[in-house]
Amino acid sequence: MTSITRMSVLALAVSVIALTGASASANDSRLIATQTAEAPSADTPAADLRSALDQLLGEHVQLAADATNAALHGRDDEFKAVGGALDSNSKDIANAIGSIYGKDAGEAFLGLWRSHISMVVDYTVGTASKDKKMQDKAVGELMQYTKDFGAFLNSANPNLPQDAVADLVKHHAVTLKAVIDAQAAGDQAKAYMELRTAYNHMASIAEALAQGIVKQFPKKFG
Amino acid sequence: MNDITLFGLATLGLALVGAAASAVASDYELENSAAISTQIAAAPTEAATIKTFQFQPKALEVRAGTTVTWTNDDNIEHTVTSGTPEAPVGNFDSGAFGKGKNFSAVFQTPGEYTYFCAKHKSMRGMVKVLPAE
Repeated sequence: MTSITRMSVLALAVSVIALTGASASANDSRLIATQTAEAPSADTPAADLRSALDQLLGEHVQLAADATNAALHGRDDEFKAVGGALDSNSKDIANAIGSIYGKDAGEAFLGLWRSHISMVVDYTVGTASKDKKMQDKAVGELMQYTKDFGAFLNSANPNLPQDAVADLVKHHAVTLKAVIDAQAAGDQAKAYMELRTAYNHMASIAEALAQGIVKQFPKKFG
Repeated sequence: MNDITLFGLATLGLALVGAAASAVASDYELENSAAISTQIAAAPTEAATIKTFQFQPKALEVRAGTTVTWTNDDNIEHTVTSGTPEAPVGNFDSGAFGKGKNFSAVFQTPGEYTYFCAKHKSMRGMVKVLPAE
C-alpha cells in the first residue's frame, strides 16, 4: 500500500470514527435530554408526605404491638422501654401535623393521640387481668375516640370527612385489638398474622391523610 | 253612711291606692329595667372559640365584670369546665355543648381561672381577670 493510500485509509478511518463519535455524542445528548425531560421521579413533596405518614403510622402499630406483648407477659423493663419509643413516635406524628397546621394544632393532636394509647393500655390490662368490664370500657372509649379523631381532622382539613376518618381509625382499633387478643392467648402465629393486617391497614390511613393534605395545600405539596 | 257604703268606699280607696302604687312600681321597674339594660349593654364581653380541639385564645385576659362567651366550632361536643381534670373547681361548668352552641360565664373577681374540656381532658385554657378599670 502506498503512503497516499495508507493516509487515505487513516483519514477515512478517523473521519468514520469522528462521525461515529459525533453521532454517538448527539445521540447521548438526545438521550440525556429525554431522560431529564421525561423521567418520572419519586422525590416530590407529596410523595415525601405519603412516605413519612406510612413510616410513622406503621411504626406506631409495630411499637404498640411490642408494648402490649411486653405488658401481657410481665416484661416490665421492656414495656417501659417500648412505651418510651411509642411516645417518641407519637411526638413525631404530632410534629408532622404541627408542621402543616401549626404548633398549637400539633399539641392538640398529641393530647388526643396519647389518649387513645392510654385506652389501648387499659384494654391490655383488662385482658391480662381477665377483667371484662375494664375491657368493654376501653373498647367503648376507643369507639368514641374514633369520632373525636374524625372530628379533629375534619376541623383541621375539610377534605377529610369526619365519618370516613372515624371508620379508618375504628378499623385500626379493631385490628390492633385482634393482635392483643392473639398475644394474650399465646397464639404467636395468629398474633403476627394479625399484626401484618394491622400494620398494612395503616397505609390506608396514611393514604387518606396524604391525599387530603395535598388537596388542601396544592402549592406546598403539588 | 252605713257599713256597706263605708266598706265600699274603703275598698275603692284601697283599689285606687293599689293602682297608684302599681303605677309607681311599674315606673320604678321600667326605670330599673332601663338601668339594668343599660348596665348589661355596657358590660364588657369577650368571645372565645373552640376549634380543632383547642380553646382559642388559649389564654384570655379580661377585666373584672367581663362576660366570656365560648362558641363550639367543632363537629363534636366539648365542655368548658373550671379547674383541671385532676382538680375541678366548680366555678363554672358548661356541660356538653355541640357545634354552633355557646356557653357564657361572667368573671367578677380578679384572678387566674384555668379550665378544661371534661370530654377531652388534654384541652386546657385559662382566663386571667384583671381589676375593673
